[in-house]
Amino acid sequence: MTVTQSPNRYLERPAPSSLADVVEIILDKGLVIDIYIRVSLVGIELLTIDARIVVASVDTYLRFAEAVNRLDLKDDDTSGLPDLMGDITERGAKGKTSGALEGVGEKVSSLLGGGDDEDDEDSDDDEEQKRPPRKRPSSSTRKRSSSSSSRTRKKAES
Amino acid sequence: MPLHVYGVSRADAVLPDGLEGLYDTPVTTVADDGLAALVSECPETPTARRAELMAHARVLEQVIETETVLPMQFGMCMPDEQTVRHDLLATYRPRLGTQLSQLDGTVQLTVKVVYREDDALREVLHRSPRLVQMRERLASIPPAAAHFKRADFGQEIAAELERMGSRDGAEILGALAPLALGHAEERLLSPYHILNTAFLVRREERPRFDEAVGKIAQQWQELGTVRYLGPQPPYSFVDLEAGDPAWA
Repeated sequence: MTVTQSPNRYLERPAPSSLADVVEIILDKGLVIDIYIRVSLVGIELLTIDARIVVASVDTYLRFAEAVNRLDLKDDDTSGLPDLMGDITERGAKGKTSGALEGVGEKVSSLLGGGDDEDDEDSDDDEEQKRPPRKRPSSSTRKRSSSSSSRTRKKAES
Repeated sequence: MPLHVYGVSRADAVLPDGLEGLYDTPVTTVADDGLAALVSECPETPTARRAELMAHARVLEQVIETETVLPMQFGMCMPDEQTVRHDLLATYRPRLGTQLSQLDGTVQLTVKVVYREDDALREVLHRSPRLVQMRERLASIPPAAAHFKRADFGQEIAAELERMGSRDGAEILGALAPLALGHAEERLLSPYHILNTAFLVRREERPRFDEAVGKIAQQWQELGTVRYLGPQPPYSFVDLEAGDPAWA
């Protein structure tokens, strides 16, 4: 693990959003009067949304296993560990458990047991790629917080 | 010609000179009784290509530099000025007025923290000698025979990564939230995303918040990267329905 000596001064001012940031925000957040929302998807060229990792599949776990297996631990095996361990202990004190991946575990078991959740996963992806469906599925196993999705979508009163 | 609506500000808000919106058209205002909708002419159904999406965001980012503006979601197209006045400004006047007052003098700043894959996984192993042992055992089994064992191993890695991410994300949030009027946690797009949170910050508190984010970037540089976006209009804090937000 490399340690950069120079401080990260550049970050002390926020930067304008990139396309991926913009997509994430302005298609989902902000004031809405539903009947006036119109967007053509013709020629849409977006959706570089950060490399998405589909969590709910055995394949994903295999990818984790592969990623870990290709790590070279020789540079920082136990003999080189102490400084890092100190860091970890310090940081590891506060706990917050999340149910997110337990949910995934269930999903995987059901896949292994012949259950079929693939469709859910696909439709979730589609939500991400296309736009106008008025409702985004509110439960995603990856979403650890709940405050975002449906709150800003308002209906016209008339 | 239909009008694309960017947002709503007070009628006396001063817009930057030469503000251009979708399709390089000038941004103008439609005012009604103290409120102003920021609009520009657009086709019946605007396209959502890179250029249009960025233009919408940039217009609002330029306005929020100096003025309070309530952002609309992309794609709000109203047939004419009269409709903007009636169906948006008049119909929602009390709510828009309340939100403009509540959000006056604030901006949204978004902080995203993403682990670097290798560094995060390495840290997961450092925390768990048991996983290191599992990894060694797996290495001695022929891959074809170890399919499900590898999946189990990956699942344990994922669970540990999740725990670590939740804990680290909570720690970062704990450092920043006290400096903001409010915050909204947004979707985490992958197991490596540990924070994606919009903060509502008073303009005069910006330097303190900037400094706090800078410190976090330094503190976490070995494990991941911090992206700091803004100032943005308060996308995550606007709402046409009444109800007092926690931070008001």
